[in-house]
Amino acid sequence: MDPITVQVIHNYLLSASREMERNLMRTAYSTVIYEVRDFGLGIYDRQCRMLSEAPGLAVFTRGNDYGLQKTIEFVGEENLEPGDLILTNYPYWSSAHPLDVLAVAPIFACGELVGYTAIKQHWLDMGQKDAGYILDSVDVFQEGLILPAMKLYKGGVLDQEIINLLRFNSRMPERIIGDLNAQVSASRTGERRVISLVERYGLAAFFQAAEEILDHGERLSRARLAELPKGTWEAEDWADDDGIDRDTMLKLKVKVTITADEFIVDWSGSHSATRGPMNLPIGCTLGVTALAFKGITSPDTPANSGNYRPLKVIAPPGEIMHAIPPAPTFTIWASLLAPEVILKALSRGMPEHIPACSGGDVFSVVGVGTHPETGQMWLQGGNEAVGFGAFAGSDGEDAIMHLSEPGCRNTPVEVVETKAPWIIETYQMRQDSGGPGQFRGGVGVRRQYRYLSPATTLTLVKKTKSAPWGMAGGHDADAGHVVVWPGTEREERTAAIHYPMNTEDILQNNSGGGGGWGDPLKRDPQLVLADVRNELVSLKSARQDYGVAIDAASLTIDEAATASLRNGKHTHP
Amino acid sequence: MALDPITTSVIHNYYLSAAREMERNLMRTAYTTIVYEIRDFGLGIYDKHCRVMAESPGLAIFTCGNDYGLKKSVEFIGIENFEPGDLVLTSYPYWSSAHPMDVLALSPIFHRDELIGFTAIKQHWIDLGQKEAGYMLDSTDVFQEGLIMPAMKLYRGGVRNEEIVNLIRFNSRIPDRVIGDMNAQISACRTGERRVAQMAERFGIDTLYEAIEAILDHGERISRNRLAELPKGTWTAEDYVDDDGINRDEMLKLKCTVTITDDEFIVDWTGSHPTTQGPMNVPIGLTTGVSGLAFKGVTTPDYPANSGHYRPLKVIAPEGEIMHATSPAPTFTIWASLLAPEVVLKALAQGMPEIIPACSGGDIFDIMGLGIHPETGHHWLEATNEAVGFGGHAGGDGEDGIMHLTEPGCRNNPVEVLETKGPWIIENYNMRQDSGGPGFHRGGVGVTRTYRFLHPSQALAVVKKTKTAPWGMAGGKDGVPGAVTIWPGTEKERVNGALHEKDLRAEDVIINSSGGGGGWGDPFTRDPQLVLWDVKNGYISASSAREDYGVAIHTEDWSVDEASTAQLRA
Repeated sequence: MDPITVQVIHNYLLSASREMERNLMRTAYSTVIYEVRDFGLGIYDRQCRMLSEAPGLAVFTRGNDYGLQKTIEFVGEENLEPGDLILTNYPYWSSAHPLDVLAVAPIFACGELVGYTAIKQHWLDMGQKDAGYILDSVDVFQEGLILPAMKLYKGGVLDQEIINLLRFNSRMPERIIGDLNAQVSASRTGERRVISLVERYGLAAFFQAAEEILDHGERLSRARLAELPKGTWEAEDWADDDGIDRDTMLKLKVKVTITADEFIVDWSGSHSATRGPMNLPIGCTLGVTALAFKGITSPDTPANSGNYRPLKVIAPPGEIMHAIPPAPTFTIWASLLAPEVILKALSRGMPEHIPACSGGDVFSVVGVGTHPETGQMWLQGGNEAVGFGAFAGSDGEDAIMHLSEPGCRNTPVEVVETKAPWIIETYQMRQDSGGPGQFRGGVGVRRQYRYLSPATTLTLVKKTKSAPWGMAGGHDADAGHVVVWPGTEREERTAAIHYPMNTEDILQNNSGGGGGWGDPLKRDPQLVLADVRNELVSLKSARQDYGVAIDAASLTIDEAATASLRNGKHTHP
Repeated sequence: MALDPITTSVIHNYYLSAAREMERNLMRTAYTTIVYEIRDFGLGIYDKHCRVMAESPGLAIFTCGNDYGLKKSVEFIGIENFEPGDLVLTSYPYWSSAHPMDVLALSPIFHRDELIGFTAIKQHWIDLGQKEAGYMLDSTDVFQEGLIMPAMKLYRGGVRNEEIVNLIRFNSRIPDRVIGDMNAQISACRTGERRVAQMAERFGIDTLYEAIEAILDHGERISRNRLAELPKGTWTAEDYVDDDGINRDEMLKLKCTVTITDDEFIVDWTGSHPTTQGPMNVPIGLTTGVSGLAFKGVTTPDYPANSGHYRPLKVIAPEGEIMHATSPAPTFTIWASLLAPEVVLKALAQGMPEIIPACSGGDIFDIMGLGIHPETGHHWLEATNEAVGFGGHAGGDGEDGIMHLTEPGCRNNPVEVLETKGPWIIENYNMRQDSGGPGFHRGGVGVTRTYRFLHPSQALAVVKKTKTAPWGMAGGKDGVPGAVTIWPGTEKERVNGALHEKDLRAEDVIINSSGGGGGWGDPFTRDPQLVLWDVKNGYISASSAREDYGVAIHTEDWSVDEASTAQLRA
C-alpha cells in the first residue's frame, strides 16, 4: 500500500479522535470533563487494537484497551450489532474506579464489524458510599453502581430501563445523564467518521492501512529501543497510605529490564493488596507502565497499539499493582505515582535522559455540599499543577500538569468561584518548593480556598511523605501537602482528608516541586538571581542552597560573598 | 344478578390457596434461611386495580406495603406496557415500602390477552452491595443502601434479561445465594400466575370479576360491622425509638392520634420526630402497612386479609417526618415501623382498655452474624429474630416467647440451623425469668439466647426498643425491656440496644435478651396459685413473687405460705 494513503488514513483516524474529543468537551455538563478533561478516548480496530486516541487523563487510554477487550469478551463479538453502545465500570475490567465509566460502541461499515470507539470519563456520582469521592472503601461494593458491560443502546434503540437505573442510583442524576449523553454523542461521532473513511477507501484498504499504522508504530518503538542502554535496574517509591491504615506507607517497587527486543517492567515485590482503596486493576497498571514506556521511546508521535509491542508488564495478582475482586480500587492513586518509579529505575541506566522526580501527584481538591443559592447539590473538583524535575541540560518546568495527566487542565479560579460557594484567596507559585540543583526543579503552586457555606471537602493526595527526588547531586524538592485551618489553633498539615468544613474555614493546597539535577553550587549565579527576582527562590535559599549572596535592596549579586560562600561550601561540606 | 355466595367463596378460597401455594413454593426453593426458616417475605395476589385479593404474610408488615409498591411500579411502567411473561423488580424504598434489600417482584397475570391481576412478592435479599456487608445501622442516604432497581423488567414477555441478572450478580457480595433466592421468588410468582389464570379459565372472566367485587365488598362489610361496635373518639399516644443509629443519645418520638368515627378509622402520625439523619425513616407505603396491621388486628383479626378490609382506614403522615420518608432520606433499618403498631394500640387502649393488651417486648430482636466461614472460605451470613413476651390483657396473661406482632408469620431460626450454617455456638436459649410485667394478668416473658463466636466475625444487633419499657395497663407493671450484652463478664462488657461490631474474635460472646410484655391489672390481686405455678416453672423468681405479687412461697416444698401472703398483701 502506498505510504501516502496510509498516512491519509492515519491522519483521518487521528482527526476523528480529536473530533470525538471536541464533541465531548462541547456537550458535557460537568467541569470535570470540559475543564479538567478527566477522560480518555480512542478508536480501535476489530481486534481491539488502538489506532488513534485523544488522551485527556493519559493514564486512561491504555486502560481502555484492556476494558474494551474484556467488554467484548463478556458480551461476545457475535452479539454486537450496529447502533449498540455498551457501558462498563467493573473496575477490574474498565481499569479505573467505578466512577470512571467506559462506553464502547462497535463500528460497522460496509456490512462488517470494523472496529470500536471507546471513551472513559468521570461520572460525578454513581451512588458510591460517600458523595463526591471515597478515601476509605474496603470493597468494590461500596464504590457505587457496577455496570457489567450493559447495552445502553441495542441496535440503536435506547434502553430506557438502564437510564432509569442510572438516574435512581445517582445523587446527581441530571448531571450524569447530561455527561452520558455527551459521551454517547462523541462515540457516535467517532463511529460516523470511521464509517465514512471505510466507505471512501474500502474495507481492504482500511484493514491494510490499520496493519501498516500499527507496524509503523512498532518500528518507531523498536528503533528507539535499539538506541537505549541495555540492562536491569530497580527502584522504589512510597505512596502515603491506603486511606485506612494511615501509618503504613505503601511500597511501589519496579524492576525494568531492557534487552535488544523487549522492555520488561516487573512490579513484583510491591506492597501486598491493601485494605483501603489503593489497589490497581491490572489494566490500569498496564496503562501507566505503557505511559512511561511511550515517554521514553516515542514521545513525539501519537500513540497506537503498535508502539507497545516490545513492552511486557508483570504484576503478580494480589499485590497492589494487580487487584483481585473485590479489593477496593477507588482512589487508584498508585497509578499516578507509578510512572515516575519506572523513570527512577531507568535513571540508573540513562541519567542523561531521565528527569528528577516531579511534584509527583495530581493534588486534587473536591468540594461537595448544598449550594446556598440554588439549594441543589454542588460538586467541584480541580487538579493542581506541580513542579517538574530538572534534567541534564535544563530546569524543570514550573507548575504544569503532572505527567500522568498531560492532557488535563486545572480548573480556572473564575469557574470554581462561579460554580461553588468558594473564594480562591490565593493562587501562586510556591517559592522554594523546587529542588535546588545546577538545573533547578520546577516549583509547585499554592491555592487557598475559603468556604462560604458548610461543605464536605476531600483532598486526593498520596505523595507527601516521600520527597520528590533530585538527581546527579541535585537536591530533593519540598513535597506537596495540604493545610487546613491555617493560622488558627486547629491548623493541621495533612494530605488526603475527608472533612466537613464550615463557613469561613480555609483549606490550602500546596503541590510539590520537582527535584533538582546536579550540584546547585554550580548553578549560574545569574540564573539564581533571576529566580530570586521572580520569587521562585528566596534570598535565604539562594544563599544556603545555591551559595549565592544577593543584596536584598538592589537585587544584585554580591560576587565576593558568593565566591566565598561557594568556596566555603566546597571546603566544608 | 348477584353471584351466588358459594361460587364467590370457592373463588375466594382458590385465591387463598394460590397464595399459600406461592408461599410453599418460595420456601421450598429459596437458598437462604432468612427466607425459608425466618420467612422474611410477604406475598399476595392482586386484581388488575392492584387490590390485594389474598395473601400469605410472612413478615406481616410487608403485605400492605406491597400494595403501595405494586401501585407505584405499575404506574411507573404504565399498565399498557405489560405483556404476558413479564416480571418486574423494584427496590426503590419510597415505592417498595421497605429497605432496598427487600426486593419486590411483581408479575402481571393474563387471561388470554387480558390483564386480570398481579402477583407480588417482597423478600429479603442478603446482599445488594449496600455500604456494609450484612446490614447497616448508620446510612445517611439511600445511595449507601445498595443497588436500587426502579421497576425493571427482569423478564419481558417471558424472556429473561440476562443483563439484569449480571447487574445483580456484579453488585452483590453473595451473588449465588441472591440469584438462587431470586429464582425461588420468580418461581413462586409464576405459580400464582398459573393458578389465577386457571381459575379465570374455569369460571370465566365475567364471573371472576364479579367474585372479586363480592370478596372485597364482603371484606369491607366485616370491617365496618366491627367498626360500628367500637367506641368512637380520638386518642393520642407516644412511644420512643432508641435512636437513629447516628445520634445515639437522641430518642425518636412516634406520636399517633387515632380517631374512630362511624365510618372511618383515622391514624394520624403528625407530630412524630422529624426526618432523621440515620436510617430510621419509614416509607409512606410501609407506614400505611403497619397502620393497617393494627387496624386489622382490632377489626377483623380472624379473617384472611383483602383490600376491602382497609376501606374505612385513613392514614396521615406528613412528609418530612419520620413516618413519611422522602428521597433521599435513609430508610435502611425501617425500625420505626416495628414499634408503630403498638403505638396505635396504646392510643386505642385509652378508649377500649378491655380489648387492648399491654405492650409486648416491643421489637423483633434481630441478631446477625457474618464473615468468612473457616470451613468453606466463603461469605457466611445468618440471622434470627427472637420471640418476645406479649402484653397481659383483660382476658388473660400475655403469651410467653412468641414472635412479635409485626411478624406473626415469621419464625425464629433454630439453634441447629444456626450452628450448622455459621461458625458460632448457641450456649444458652431460655425463657427470661422476671422479664414479664407483673399484673393480675402477667406479661409474657422474653427469651435469652447466648452466642459464642468460633471464628473472627462481624455481628449486628438490630434492636431499637431498649430505652422505654413495655408499658403495663390497668395497674399492671411494665415489662423489662430487651437488651444486648456483648463480652459479658469481661472488662469490655457493654449493654446496648443496636450494635455493629466489626471485629469480633473467636470466643467472643453476645447475649440477646428480648423484652417481656407489660402486665395487666394489679399484681397483688393475682391468684397466688398462678404465681406459684410461675415460680415453679421459672417464669418468675421467688423474690419477685414476694415483692411484686405479695406472694410468699416455700421453695422447699413449692407451696404458698398463706399467712405471710395475707400479711404481704394486706
